[in-house]
Amino acid sequence: MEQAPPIGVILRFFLMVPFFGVLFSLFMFYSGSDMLVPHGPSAAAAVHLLFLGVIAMAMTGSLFQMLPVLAGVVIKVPTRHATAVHLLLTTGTMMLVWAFISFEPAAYALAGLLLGSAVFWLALLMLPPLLRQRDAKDTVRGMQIALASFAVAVLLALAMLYMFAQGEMSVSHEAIRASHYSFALVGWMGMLIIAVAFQVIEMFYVTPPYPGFCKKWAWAILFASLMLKMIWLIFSLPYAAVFDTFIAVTLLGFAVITFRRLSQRKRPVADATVWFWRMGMALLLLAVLGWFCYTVSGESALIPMMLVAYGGFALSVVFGMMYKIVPFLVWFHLNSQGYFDAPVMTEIISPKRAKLHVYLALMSFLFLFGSFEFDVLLPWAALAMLLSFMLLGMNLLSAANVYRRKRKSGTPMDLSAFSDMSMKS
Amino acid sequence: MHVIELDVRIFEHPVPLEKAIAAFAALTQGEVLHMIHRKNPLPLFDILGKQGGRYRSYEDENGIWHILIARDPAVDLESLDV
Repeated sequence: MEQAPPIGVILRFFLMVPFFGVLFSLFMFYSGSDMLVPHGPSAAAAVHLLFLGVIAMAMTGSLFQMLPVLAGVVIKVPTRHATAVHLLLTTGTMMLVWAFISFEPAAYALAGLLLGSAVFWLALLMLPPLLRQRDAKDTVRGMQIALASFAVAVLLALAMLYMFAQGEMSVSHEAIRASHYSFALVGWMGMLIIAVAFQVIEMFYVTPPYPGFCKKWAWAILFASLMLKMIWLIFSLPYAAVFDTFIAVTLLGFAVITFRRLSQRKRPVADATVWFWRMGMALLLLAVLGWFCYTVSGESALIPMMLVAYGGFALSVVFGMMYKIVPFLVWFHLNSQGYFDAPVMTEIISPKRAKLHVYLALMSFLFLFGSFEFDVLLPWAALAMLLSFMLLGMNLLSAANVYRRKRKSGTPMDLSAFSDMSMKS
Repeated sequence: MHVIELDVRIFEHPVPLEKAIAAFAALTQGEVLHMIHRKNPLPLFDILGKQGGRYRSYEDENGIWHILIARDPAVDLESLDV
């Protein structure tokens, strides 16, 4: 923690979340129900706006913050690295969305270059020190796999972008695409959320820890399933869906145990972050149940519903984590500088405004699910989503303002009355 | 030497940190804060280190963490038995 990066390193990523969220909401208005057509260009643009611009951005910021605390990984000159990754990820995401909308070969190539650079920069920066951790287990192992999966997902994406830029498809295109989204959705996002949950659910909400077998095996089952699925798909071997079953059952187990843990809190006071975790787990359950129904029925209309539920799961957890991390960062950095009269964490972002965000997010998901049956609900989903992200933006900016104002007008407390001698043991 | 006990085991994050920092800022000469926590609070140590605080932490056989905090350089945390 002594190596915690400056607050700006994390906030620059977090502030992109409402920015891309607003773009995503506007895109919902613009594309309408085209966005819900599986594999269509609008769906691809929307999915990448959400998963790269919003969720991956938040996760990258969180990694910069959590690696020193949870894994003891020290990132030297974090501001320089964060600036580079942030710029590459932001411009790359925008270029990719433009490529999906415009079908410009040059845009695909440039997006690949920018996003590939962003993710490999991140992986090269964080993976080697993570891999050097002695006796890595649970959370650290999950982080290693998550980052490695992100890199694999991007490698597969680069192969597809190359094909798009060339205007020709390989015979393995479908296998590459399925492996790409499996590694991105499960290996990167799912794994990182699970790994972080092992630490933070117990710590933030005073619950019993996750069962030992769950911590020990979850990452191994997911990673092995993803790798085997990719091999099975590329070589067109039969029964590849078996690996999806392992993944689905693991995610189901994670959601059920997390629900149970949240109900076992010692002080059952539910703030917005608890509701975001609950909403996330409910959406994850819905995504997994949707997958089971799809496997049994073969009904392709279930695919976008599963994706919406899975995206909602990741988004809810991201929202919940941001409402924990941002007030903590503001409080921590002010107290580190001696501003002991800084507001307490619950005053940095108003609990009422955070709760309002829960309702708006819930409404946006409900409208979105409803729009699968009634098209007329889609603009309402977009509106609720737009308001949800605008509120998040206001909440984050108000927290940043608390920090800025205190730094500008406050005076650090003088605690040097006894001595300036400082020892640690 | 006066030991002030602060048991934060039942509180959810971030309350333990806030309580510990408030108690640390109020410590006077000869006083020691004995924080009892379910975790080793690494972020707290960072703040203490930067603000001239001194600390010693250890985990007992029940997995409970004891954190001794002082501002007074005359206080010998190593020999304190709590």
